[in-house]
Amino acid sequence: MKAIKYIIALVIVSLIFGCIRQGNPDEKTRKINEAYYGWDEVMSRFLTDYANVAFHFNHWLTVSEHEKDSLEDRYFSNYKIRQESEKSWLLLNMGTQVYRIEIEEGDNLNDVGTAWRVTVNNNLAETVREFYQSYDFSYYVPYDPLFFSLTETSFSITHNTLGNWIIRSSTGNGSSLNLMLKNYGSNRCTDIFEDELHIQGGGNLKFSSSHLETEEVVTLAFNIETALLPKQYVRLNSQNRLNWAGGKFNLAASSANANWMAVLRMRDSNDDEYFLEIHYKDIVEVWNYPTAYAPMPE
Amino acid sequence: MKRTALFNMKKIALFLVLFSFCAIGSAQTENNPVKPFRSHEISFNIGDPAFIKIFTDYYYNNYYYNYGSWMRDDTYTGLYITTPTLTFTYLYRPLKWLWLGGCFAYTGEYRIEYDKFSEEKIGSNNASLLSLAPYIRFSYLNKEKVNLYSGFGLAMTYEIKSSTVGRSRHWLSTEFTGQMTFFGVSFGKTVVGFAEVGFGYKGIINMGIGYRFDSKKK
Repeated sequence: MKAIKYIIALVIVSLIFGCIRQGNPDEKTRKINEAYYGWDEVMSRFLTDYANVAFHFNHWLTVSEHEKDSLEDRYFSNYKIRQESEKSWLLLNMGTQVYRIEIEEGDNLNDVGTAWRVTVNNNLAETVREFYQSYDFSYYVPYDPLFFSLTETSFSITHNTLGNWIIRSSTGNGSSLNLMLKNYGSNRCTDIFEDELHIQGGGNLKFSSSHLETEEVVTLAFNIETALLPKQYVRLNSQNRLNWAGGKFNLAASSANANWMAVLRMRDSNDDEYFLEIHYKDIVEVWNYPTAYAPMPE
Repeated sequence: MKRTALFNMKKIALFLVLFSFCAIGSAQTENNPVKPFRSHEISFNIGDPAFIKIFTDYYYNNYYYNYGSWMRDDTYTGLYITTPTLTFTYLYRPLKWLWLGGCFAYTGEYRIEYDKFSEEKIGSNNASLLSLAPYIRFSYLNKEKVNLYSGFGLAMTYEIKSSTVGRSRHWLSTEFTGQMTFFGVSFGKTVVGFAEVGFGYKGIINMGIGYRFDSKKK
């Protein structure tokens, strides 16, 4: 009799020990939001540490000798500016070339028809990368952007029509950007964040993950439908950080085994956060992003 | 002078240790006269499935779901059933305090996968862990109806996984695992109940029932 009671007790215990659970679907657009991190990393880094350097240098180049010193302190405090030839300059950090700026057509980037080429040492222009690595993301992003994986990335910037610049970059491993910047504030530009720039265009960005169980290369192809509005919220470690005050773009991801497409829309909210609206398979989910992805400086 | 004192201290300490052993032996002999104990034990235990969770969660998160991949499927686990760990054990007791034998343990898991958007079932992912282990138990309290013991065993664990999500697939892998029973208690003389705390293929907490017998009638 005691044994029977004990067996009954065991059955009860086994029901406790065994698990019957009902899982719920997590956010349906989570993977797209994660891909947005990757897209945003490339765009933020490119516009901040690559394209903006061209506008800064143009600003420095076009001011008087008296003003040059203060602009040099403001924009290029970590660099020494060396003129390589009549139309070519180097920005050196500890004696190593980080940027080469070559004037191909015209002189001043604020003049229509002027074309420049900028070559960037990816390993040294890593401020945004460092920033991303230091930020405690709520989840792990296991991809590396191939856009910056080669030693150098170069891009061309052309003042196409009054107040419009075209930026093109194509890397040897299949990534490319083709952006059009329009300044609605004036016909010239000194800083992407300080001017009222609207960004159009698109690109193909390749990412590689060797951190996943199955290594994969993903291509994010994007096409901007409604101009992206970059916005600077805070200065972190003396670096301007890019956030988005608006814009809408199509994002198509593809790998060897799968693909998906979504529409992403950024909405400005307040100084602490902005919204990312993801349209995917007839549903819409909204994610909020802290501005600058980092605490406000004290 | 000091060396002599130290030597004497060591002799005293050694004497105390030997004396304490003799006292314990004497106490056991006088208070618990050696009784015929049953030489064989078979038992069935039920434990928590913590062990299988370590294997399968890692597997599902990292391999099946490719956790973190931007290209993962739009699926989720709905109904999720994990059996308790079921262990069958046979032990032979050559000495009063020593038990030698083996275990067979089973834990199963059954996950039904659903499409995130249509909420329709698209298949299931199943896993079974089968462990075969030699096992040794040391009982340090051997009353007539109560034993306190600890034990450990090394095991070969076979992981059998299958999936019907997408195309039907099966996997078999083997791992060296084990069981460390930190504390166990048994009640009863012939029909015995068990409760154990430890970690390994039997789970963290397990309880069971067993039967003790002799191979020869005396």
